[in-house]
Amino acid sequence: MSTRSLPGLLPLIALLGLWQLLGSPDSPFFPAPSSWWPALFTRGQGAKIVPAVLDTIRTFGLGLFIATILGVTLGILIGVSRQVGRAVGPTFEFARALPPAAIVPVATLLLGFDEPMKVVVVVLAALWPILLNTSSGVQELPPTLLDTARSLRLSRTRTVFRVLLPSVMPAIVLGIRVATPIALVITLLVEYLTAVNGVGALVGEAQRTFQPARVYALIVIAGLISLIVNSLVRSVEDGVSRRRVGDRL
Amino acid sequence: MDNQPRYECRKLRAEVGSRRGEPRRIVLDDVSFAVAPGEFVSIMGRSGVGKTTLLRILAGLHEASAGSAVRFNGEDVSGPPEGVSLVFQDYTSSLLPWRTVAKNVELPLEGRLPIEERRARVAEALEMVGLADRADAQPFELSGGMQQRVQIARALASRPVALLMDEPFGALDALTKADLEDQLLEIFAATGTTVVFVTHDIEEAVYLSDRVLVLDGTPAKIVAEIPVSSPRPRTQMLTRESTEFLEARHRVHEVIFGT
Repeated sequence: MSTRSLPGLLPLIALLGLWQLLGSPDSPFFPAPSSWWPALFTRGQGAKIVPAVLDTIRTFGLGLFIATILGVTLGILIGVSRQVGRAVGPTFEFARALPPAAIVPVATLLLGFDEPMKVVVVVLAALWPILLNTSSGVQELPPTLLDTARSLRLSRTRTVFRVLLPSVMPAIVLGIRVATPIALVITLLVEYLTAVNGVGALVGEAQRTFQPARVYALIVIAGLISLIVNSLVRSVEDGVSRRRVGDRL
Repeated sequence: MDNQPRYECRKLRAEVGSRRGEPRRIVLDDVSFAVAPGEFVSIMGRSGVGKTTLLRILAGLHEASAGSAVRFNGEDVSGPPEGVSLVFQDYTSSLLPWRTVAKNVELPLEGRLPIEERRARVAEALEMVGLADRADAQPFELSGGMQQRVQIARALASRPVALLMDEPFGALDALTKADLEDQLLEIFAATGTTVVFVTHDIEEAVYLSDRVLVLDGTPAKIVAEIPVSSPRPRTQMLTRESTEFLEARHRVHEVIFGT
């Protein structure tokens, strides 16, 4: 986040200000923003916040990490070999079309209500943009580049790590950027649906126990996590693209 | 001492077009020739005739059809042979943009030679192409001619016995092209490597080569083999004005365009 994005937040600040001025403190739907922060700590619930945030970040991070490893590996295999692409293409199209929320009941059935189940659902949702970007990145490489690697008699490992991966890195990073908000949304959604730990589970709990101010406060926390994570990914992407263009800038 | 030909092709036949639905097309048929060690041979022909396919077969990147014999140093070519370096026309796609010039040249040596040896080879190769002072530059900072020199240096770094070049100067302006031709002749003289050079420029083929092979027809075969007797070292002005050069050029022209 740079100071340049601050003016962009003005409408949001104005909205919250109006809400504070016009809202009634007793409203069951729109509690004034000033009541949100204290609501986090009422009835000794304050101790749950930090562990929940950490849980959410862990599920999100682990899910995105596994999705990246899996997506890049499969994407390269599919991109390099036309046979592999044809063999798994239709299956992937089907799996990609499944809404992640529809996977949740199956995942809980197979894996139970725990952390691995959450991670699996996040991986299944975040995998596709990374996989598809990687495979099309490989397919769009100039044939000369792969011929070069072959004619220099580079080993398979060296071809992948010294030639292929660096060449498709911008495509991979773009895929990760697309996958990041998806992974976070799905993390919160799974937590909300299954009540297994994390900020999403706390939102569900606050909602079921009629604590509207607490719901809003938790949503603000989720928004802040998302903001931080997205700006992190963006700065990584900027770093990668700057390295590609080199020192010309 | 070394009477075995560097390259030998007999009854070579090649097909292209492996894309889905596309019928395979025979581009080369009954192509036979040999290249002696230390010889500079050019392959000429109209565009699309199969020059590049032929070179890719020599480089082990394209498989010749069954029944063809392609030998490098007496051994059948299956995959890129050791001791052969290929230089592509498209230097931009062939160089790794995130590596410096020196690191690009070092690529084929990595994992094969100790670091000091690699450094020495890189320095030597860059010296040969006149880029010793640009070792730390990124490829995109260099002109097209210089980038092609980097690719040639990378090809030389592994000290090849045969250098295959696919229209290496085709995308360069005339002056740069003349410079690089002369540099290539110097390298050729200094290293004694065998060169197979694909081009569609008659003057270039004659100026550089000991022998010019002309491909023509569909499928293509070698329709003429024209020796160039101009003495070496050659120079752009004197060689191009010599009777030997003009004679050879005339003959190549005759073969390609008719009288």
